[in-house]
Formats: sequence, structure tokens, C-alpha cells
Amino acid sequence: MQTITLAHGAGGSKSRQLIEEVFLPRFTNIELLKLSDGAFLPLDSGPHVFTTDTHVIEPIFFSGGDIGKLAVCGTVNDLVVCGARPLWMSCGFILEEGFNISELERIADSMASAADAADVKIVTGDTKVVGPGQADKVYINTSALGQVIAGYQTKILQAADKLIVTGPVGQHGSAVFNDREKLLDNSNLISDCASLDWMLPIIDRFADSIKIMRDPTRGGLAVILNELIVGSSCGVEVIENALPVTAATQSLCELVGFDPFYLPCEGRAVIITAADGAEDLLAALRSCAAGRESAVIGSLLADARNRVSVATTLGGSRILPATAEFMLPRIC
Amino acid sequence: MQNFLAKFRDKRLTQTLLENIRRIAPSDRTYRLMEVCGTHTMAIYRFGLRQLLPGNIELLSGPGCPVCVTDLSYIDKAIALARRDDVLLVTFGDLMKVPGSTSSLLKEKAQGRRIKIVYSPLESLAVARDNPSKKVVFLAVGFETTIPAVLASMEQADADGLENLFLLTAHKLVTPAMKFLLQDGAARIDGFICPGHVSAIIGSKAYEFLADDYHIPCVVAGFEPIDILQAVLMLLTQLREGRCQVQNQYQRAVRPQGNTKALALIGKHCQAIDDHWRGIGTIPASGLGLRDEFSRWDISSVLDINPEPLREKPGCICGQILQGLARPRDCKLFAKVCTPEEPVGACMVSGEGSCAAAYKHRPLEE
Repeated sequence: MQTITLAHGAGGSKSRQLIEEVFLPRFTNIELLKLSDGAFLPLDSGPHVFTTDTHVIEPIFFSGGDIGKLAVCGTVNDLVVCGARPLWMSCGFILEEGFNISELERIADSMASAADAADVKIVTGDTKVVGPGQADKVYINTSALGQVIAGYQTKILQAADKLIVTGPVGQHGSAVFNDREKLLDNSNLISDCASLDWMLPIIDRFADSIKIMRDPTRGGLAVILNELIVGSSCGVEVIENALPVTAATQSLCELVGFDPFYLPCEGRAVIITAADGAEDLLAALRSCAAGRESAVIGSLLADARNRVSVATTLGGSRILPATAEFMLPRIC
Repeated sequence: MQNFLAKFRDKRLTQTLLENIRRIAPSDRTYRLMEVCGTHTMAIYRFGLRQLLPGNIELLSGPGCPVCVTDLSYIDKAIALARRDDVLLVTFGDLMKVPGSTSSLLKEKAQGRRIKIVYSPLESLAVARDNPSKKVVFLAVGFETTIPAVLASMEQADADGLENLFLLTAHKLVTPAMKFLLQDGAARIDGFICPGHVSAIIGSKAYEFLADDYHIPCVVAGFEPIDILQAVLMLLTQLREGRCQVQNQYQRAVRPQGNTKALALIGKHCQAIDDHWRGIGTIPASGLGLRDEFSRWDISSVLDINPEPLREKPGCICGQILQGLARPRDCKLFAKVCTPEEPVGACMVSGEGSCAAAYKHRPLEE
């Protein structure tokens, strides 16, 4: 089996070979094929968004995805929730000496198909190799540039605004945790890792009523909601009954004591939208296959203390603090 | 599992139980009921049960979170072990953030010390097998619920010929602590919601001496909202009728005689010792030490452990909270200096700690 050696990162013929055999056949596009030190890109006028994300997940292959798919989707999603259409992406690899090239090929394959699906081009990249034990298999940084959808901008939050989530929460966290700890065999715990580019036409159509969007990754819904309302004059009330959670995720939470509000997602968006038109937006989201489990899960209320609370199923209430619920490192 | 749980979280049944509780608990007096177990505390906050109950029913959180009652000196000993090159520590994740005198296991791990988090003591066997040159030490804290699994793991290690697996024990017993609180009297407890998991091992009969000698109603309860509310109703009914008995609400998991196999395992390997509870003090015969013939499992019998001098945290009232004498919000540090991310006291660390539960799930009006 062929493995990565320090020579693959030394810039010589081995480096060239790695690029030509692993990356170029998969990420084919004119900008990349020029193989210059940087990609020359034609930009249209209007605002653009630039974002970056580094992925260190363990295990690198998990139910519902792998580090390659995650690296593309994670960065695409950061652009989409900024209201931007992804255009170009860079990727940087840190590889551990001894890593199997066949596994790197699998990862590059899923990066290519995720990039194709989201219509983003990987136009520049870099590879570094470190010695055994100095990194764990593979880390991937992706950065991407996208163009903001005309007419979309974030807006001031107000009481009565509606809160929408585009599908069941906590699937990524519960799936990766289950894979890592080898808890349940044949479970239905599958990561929601996916690109949110399907939302772009909907963002375009509802650009006037969508106020702000985020993807609830690390810290899950609870932490992201706390971040979203800071600086506004509002709090958020989530209706526990309305929150979509798969039976598999809920069961794992009961088993190990997790709270689905704090489990990360990798293929969901949280949307705060004006109450007027929220039902139409929900219907549009639900009409897409990827968004058919979208739900209105709560609303904003006037609260200068910016508290996020849950109306519990039994009629009580509890605050969701912006605190990390449990220690789950290397989840993305 | 979802359908099964839904029955125990049914809104209509909750309402009926609450109506009955209101009817049976006249508002001219208060009722102070202590849930001993940390998992009960967590469920009470998570489902917002305190807000649903009438104001004259006070639920007091007891000393039933193993991490919270583990003595500071134990954490310091664990830290001293972690700093040794010949030791590899294995622990439940809850202990990682508990502050010792000047450090914590989490901080030690960040310094590169070898500490592995596991979900079951059985996992330590593989760790010991994979690290033959190290003394692998499992941090054995917990009540009767976890003790049998630890002992079974050690028996397996013996059978497998693993000679490098050891324990640092701080095992504790629940009923001596309950007795201590009643003898002390300061918490003015009217009834106990007895811990469901512990009772699955020790059996509901184990509380009979409390009902008989200290005239206190006891109800063994499960952990779902319906379980807890039904237990409250059963306690109030006993109080109203002037009875002091042990009742078992959690019959789907708890038998009167408990788990006799697990109890035999404990009896074979362990003996009761006086033990120190963090923030409370020494309680007679409240801990479990290894019997002499199994002292080879005890890392203290193999290594001299030299922890740093003890330094208690000023201002922390964990001890009073664990005895039902104060609520988390009575503490000046609560949610200001002391948070789950930067805990000062142990009660803010564990997922089952009163302060952590109160912090994570505090109601909107607080």
C-alpha cells in the first residue's frame, strides 16, 4: 500500500506526482490547471463573502460522510448562511507521514463530488507533510469566496420574528460520537453533513424577509441562538415540542445524557425571519427534498437580557445558556 | 425507546398528578423533600418540575452526585499520579474538570499527562493491555451503582493475568449519608426521594432502617417526570396519613432485595470505612475500602502518592448545597465566578451536580 512520506511535502518530484495523480484528476478546472502560485479569478461587481474553516475531525470517515465532504460542505455552508453563492474554493492539506494514499484519494473523491454538487470550484491548494505523531492522519483547511445574492442583507431583529430550522438537529454530533466510541452497531445515527446550496434560490426569493441565518455547528442550536441575538433587544423562546430530532439522536441523548440542543449539525441552517411571510418561507423550504423536515421552532420576544429559553413539553421553562454542554473535541 | 419514554412524559398525566399533589398538600405548611440522587436533580431541572409544583413543596438536592462529594484530597492524589511518568490514568469524563487545590485533571492533560476518558471501567482492561510498561490506574469514584462494574472489571483483569491495572478508590455508600443528614437535622427533611439506580443494586429494603428508626417516609423513584411527581405524591400521602414507610415507585427496575449478585460482589471485595465527603466532613462507615486480600488492586499499596498541600476554595458553599441547607443561587459565586466552563466548586462540574443543573436549566424567571 502506498503511503505519504515527507518527500510528498518537500516540493520536488514526489510533490508534483501527488498533485498530478491525486488532486488534478479530481478537481479539474481551468484555474487550477494553470498550476500557478495563485488562481486568477474574474469577479463580478457587488459584495462578496470570503470565509475559511479548518477540519480536524476524528474519525476521518464517519457515518454519513468523511473529512473531505465535511471540508467542502462546511465552508460552502458558511457562505450560504451569509447569503452568498459559493464560487471558488482553496484547500490546504496537512498530512501525517504514513497516511495511506488510497484514503487520501477517497477523501479527494468526496471533496470533488461535494464541490460539484454545490457548484464551487477548487482552484488552488497546498499540501504539507509532517512526521508521524505530529498530526493525526489528515487535517484540511478550505477557504472560499462567494457572491452575495442581490438584495439580501442581515436585518434588525424584532420581537415576534420567527425561528426556523431546516431539519432535525444534532445528527452530526451524535453520529460522530457513536462512531468514535463504537457504542451502537447498526444504529440510524447518520451525520447530516451536506451542503446547504439548495437554499440559494429560496434565499433569493425571500431576501426581503430573511433577517439572519447561521449554521448550528459547534455548540449546536443553543450556542448559535445565543450568539445570534447578542446586540439585539430580543430573546428567543424555543418550543421544545416543535424541535425536530430524529428518534436515533434522541435515543443516544437519553442513553449518554446529551442534550440535542447542544449537539452540532453540519447540514442545517437556522433562520430568523419576519413573522409576516414566515409560513411561505417554511413551505418553500419544505418543498425541497433536503428541507422537507424544516420547522418553525420558536419566536423572538422582547428581552434586553438576550436570553434563550425553552418552553418545555410539560409546561415549564428553562434557559439555554451559551455554554459548551460536554467535551467533544474534534467534531468538525 | 421513544414510545416507552413518552408514556413517562405525558402531559395529561402530569396535570392529573399535579392536581392530586395540590389537593393533598395544604398550603398552610411547607414540605421539604430531598432527592438524594444527582440524576433526579438533573431531571427536575430539565423538565422544569420545580415551577410546576406548588410553592410550598421544596425539592432539596442531596449528596448523591459522586463527583460532587469526592474529597479534594482525592483529586489532588489523582493529579499527583497523573504527574508520574510510570502512571496512566483512566477516568470517567466527569472528574476531568473538578478543581483540585491548584490544578485539575483537564489542566494536567493539557500539559501532556497521560489521562484517558472512558465510559465503562471495563475499558481500562484494554488500556492496561496496550500499555504494559505503565501502571494503569482507574479512578474509582461512585456509589453502589458503579462499584460492582469496577469490581467485576478487576476480577476480569486478574483472570486475564493483567498485573498493571490498579484502582484509586473513593467509593461511597448512599444510606449512611442519608442517616447523617437526619441525625444532623439542620436540613429539616420531611421525606426522601430515594435514588433509583442505587436502589436497583441495594434494593428498596435498604432504606427501612431510615423509616423505622428516624420516622421518615422514603419512596424509591425512577427518573422520568411522571416517576418523580408520583413519588412526590406518595411521600405527601404518607405525611398526610402519618405513615413512615419505604415505598417503591420504580418497580420496573428495583426489587426489595436489590441485585443480590452485585451485592455479593461488593461484600466479597470491600468493607465499610469512615469516609470524608467534600464540603460535609467525615461520615462513619460511609465509604468502601478494598479488603486486605484485595489490597494489591489499590495503587496506594504500590506507590507512595505525594499530593500537594490542600487548599480549599474560599466562598464556595458546595457543602451546604449538598446537605440541602442552601440552594445554588444562594451562593455568591453562582453563575458569576463559578460556571460550567470555569467551575469553582465540584457541584458546578458534574453533569449531575446541583449547581450545574441549576445553571444549565434555570427557569426564565430566575
